[in-house]
Amino acid sequence: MLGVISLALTLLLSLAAVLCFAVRNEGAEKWGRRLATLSFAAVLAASVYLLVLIFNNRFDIAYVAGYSAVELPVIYKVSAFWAGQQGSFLLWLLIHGAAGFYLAIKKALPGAGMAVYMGLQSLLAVLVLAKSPFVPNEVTVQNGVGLNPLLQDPWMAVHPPIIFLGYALLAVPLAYSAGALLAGQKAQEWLPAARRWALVGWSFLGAGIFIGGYWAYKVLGWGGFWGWDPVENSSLVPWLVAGIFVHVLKVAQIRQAVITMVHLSGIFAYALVLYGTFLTRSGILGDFSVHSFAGTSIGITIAVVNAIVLVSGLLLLAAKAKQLPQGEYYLGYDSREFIMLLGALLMAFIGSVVFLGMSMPLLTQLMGRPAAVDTDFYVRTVMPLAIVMLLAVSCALLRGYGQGKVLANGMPLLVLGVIGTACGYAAGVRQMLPLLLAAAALMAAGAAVLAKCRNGIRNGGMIAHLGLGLAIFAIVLAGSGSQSHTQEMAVGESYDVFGHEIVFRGQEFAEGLKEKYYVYTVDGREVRALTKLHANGTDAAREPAIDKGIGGDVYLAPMPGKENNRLEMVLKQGRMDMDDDLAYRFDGVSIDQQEGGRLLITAEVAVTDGEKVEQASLVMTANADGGTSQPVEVLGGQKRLRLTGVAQNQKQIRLEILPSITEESSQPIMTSVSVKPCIWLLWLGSVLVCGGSLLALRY
Amino acid sequence: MNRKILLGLLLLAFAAYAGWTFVDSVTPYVGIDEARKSTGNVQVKGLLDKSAPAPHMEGDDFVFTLQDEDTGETMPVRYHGAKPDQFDQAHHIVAIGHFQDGVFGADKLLIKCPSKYEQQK
Repeated sequence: MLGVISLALTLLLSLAAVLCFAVRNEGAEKWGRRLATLSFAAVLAASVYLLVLIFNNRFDIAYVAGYSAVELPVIYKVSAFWAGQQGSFLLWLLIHGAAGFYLAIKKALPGAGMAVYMGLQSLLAVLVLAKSPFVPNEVTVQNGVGLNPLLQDPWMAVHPPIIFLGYALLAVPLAYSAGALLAGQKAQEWLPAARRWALVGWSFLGAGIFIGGYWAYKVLGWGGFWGWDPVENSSLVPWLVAGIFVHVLKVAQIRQAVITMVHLSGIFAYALVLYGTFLTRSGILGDFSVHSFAGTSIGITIAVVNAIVLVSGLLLLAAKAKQLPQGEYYLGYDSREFIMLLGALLMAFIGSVVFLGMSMPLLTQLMGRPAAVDTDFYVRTVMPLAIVMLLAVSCALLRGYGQGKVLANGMPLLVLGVIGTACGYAAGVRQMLPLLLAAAALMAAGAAVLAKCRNGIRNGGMIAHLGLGLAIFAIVLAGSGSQSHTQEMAVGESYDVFGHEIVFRGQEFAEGLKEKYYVYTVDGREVRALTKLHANGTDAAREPAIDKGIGGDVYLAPMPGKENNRLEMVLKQGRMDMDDDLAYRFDGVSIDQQEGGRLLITAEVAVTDGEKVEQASLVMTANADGGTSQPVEVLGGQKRLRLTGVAQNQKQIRLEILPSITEESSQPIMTSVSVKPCIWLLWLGSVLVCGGSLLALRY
Repeated sequence: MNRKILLGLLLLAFAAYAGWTFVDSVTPYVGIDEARKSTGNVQVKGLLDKSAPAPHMEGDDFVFTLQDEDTGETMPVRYHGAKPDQFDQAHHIVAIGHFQDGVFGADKLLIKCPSKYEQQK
């Protein structure tokens, strides 16, 4: 109840704030700022309350039961806050509210802009209320489901907050731009502030995307970092459009007429953020994305919010278009501003292509026959655009504004281009377009450094563009140049794969049998692939082992065994049954009723190898959904037994017989081996792009 | 003015290229009967056929049998790669690829898990 009341208060207070700011006199504005502060306090209270619920294991709340569990480590209990849709929307609202609080107390945003901002806040509050994390659980459970083991990773814990920081902060420049339109503000009064906020939002959104890619590479084990999945694309498109936004914000400070583009890209960046959430949360993509989202009723609500933002934004812009500064967009074709606008146009093209591709399931569904596009589509269309865009980046960096003074001779860049092509070829890239892309990427990186040397740009811009070039260069090498090979590896044998000496050392089981490692050595260096286990001993999440190096990574992904070393057996009470080595006799079962409708089932089994006889008690806890049990070692660890079922009449049980830990550890393993040339350049480049953009705040 | 026309033409040419690529790479969502007949890439959704031989590796390929939820029709699927995580918990399996020589060659598998495994980004 407390949570829902806080959320309702957030909504009411932000609506009241909108009214106060809309009045546009000083007294009302003062009240508006107070209400904005209170609204933030309300959403803060709701968020703290959700955390309290999670930490108190309140499984009577559906959200807590769905994403947390008693045994979850503290860090993942915190991240359970945003593990599901309801919580992540609350987090979004919280960040939005916090930024609004900052704007209100600093009086950074004029009244008209605040009205828009608080309006957006109330729309977000409606979304959170429509799908509240405080809904009671319909069934009584003793423990929660817990967090998907794949998501129990530090990178995945920080990925959503950073993405949502980006989403939320992009509302600030939109509020500046809409506020300026409403109040007829002069460009120089709001452009610098809007640009700073846009840069922060853009950097965080980018950082979130990069972290997601790094997590995919490090945890998922398929060897890639980007899959053109609709969920990924839906954050890429707003990032691209926000990229246009930060660039035209810069041009508009020199050519005022470009301010129309600023308004336009600001509106579209935020509308696309909402569109992306709509697409990924509505369930429309359910059958098209590797991220399984349950179909939810919230889709319509988000679509309406999205439409409100887009339509009212565009109508406002159209109504005020005549009052905007007129003039030239650029002075000549060789001026920096012309080339920058050309680059922005190319980015818009890339965005449109991805937008079209990711919207395909929605569009075709409307026409009756659902379809999606091949991921190949994105590569084929984005690649030529990216080449031209990177060339535009190089040209723009080496030119001055206005008359297009040449800052530096571009000839040295051609040398870099040749080096880029040669590196690509050496890494195994054989197609023309990727080779050209590698060349263009290194040229752009070089142009950034060259332009900085001639004082053509500042440090932030230099670092960001250098990072962009390096990252795309690494993407070409990793995408087209990486090779992969599947090898069955026996323990202790040495295999020569892609010039590396790889030895599989066996499996290592960690304390408590919650996880195990596949241990390898690559050219003598030890690397481990972590596999998290379910309570019953089966694999829950499998991570690769990565040997990182300057030349590139050697990426080892163990593939699930044939599992033919597991044996299932049905035992009848009082009768002896044998497998290859041992004999088993099921003596009887006792069932204990426990609190919460759970049953504790204990089966007594006698095991013998012909000499010794051992009595084993196998335990299973069962509730309405099924049972869980853990393997028990018998006869000094010769075998492990696990109870997997009991017949209604209690006269029969089903056993799973697993080999000893030592035997399992020495099973041969199929391993997919691949080399990722210079992949670290991608991580470095990503850090530079985001870091450089943040550095650009200073100017 | 000439440059503007040139620019316009280039953009138009690209738009045409993008459109062609787009049409070329559309993969419709079809049932198993249609998948057998289709020539290009398609997406097929189905259940794991439990009566067929258990899913297993054949060399570098993962092989299993997909069953159409509505018609009950089955189709062998060959996926170049390892058995995907959580394959055993799958509700539904979506295979993307094309049918050739009696086998559906999947380039990609999407594993639809019960809500317990709902992933969120």
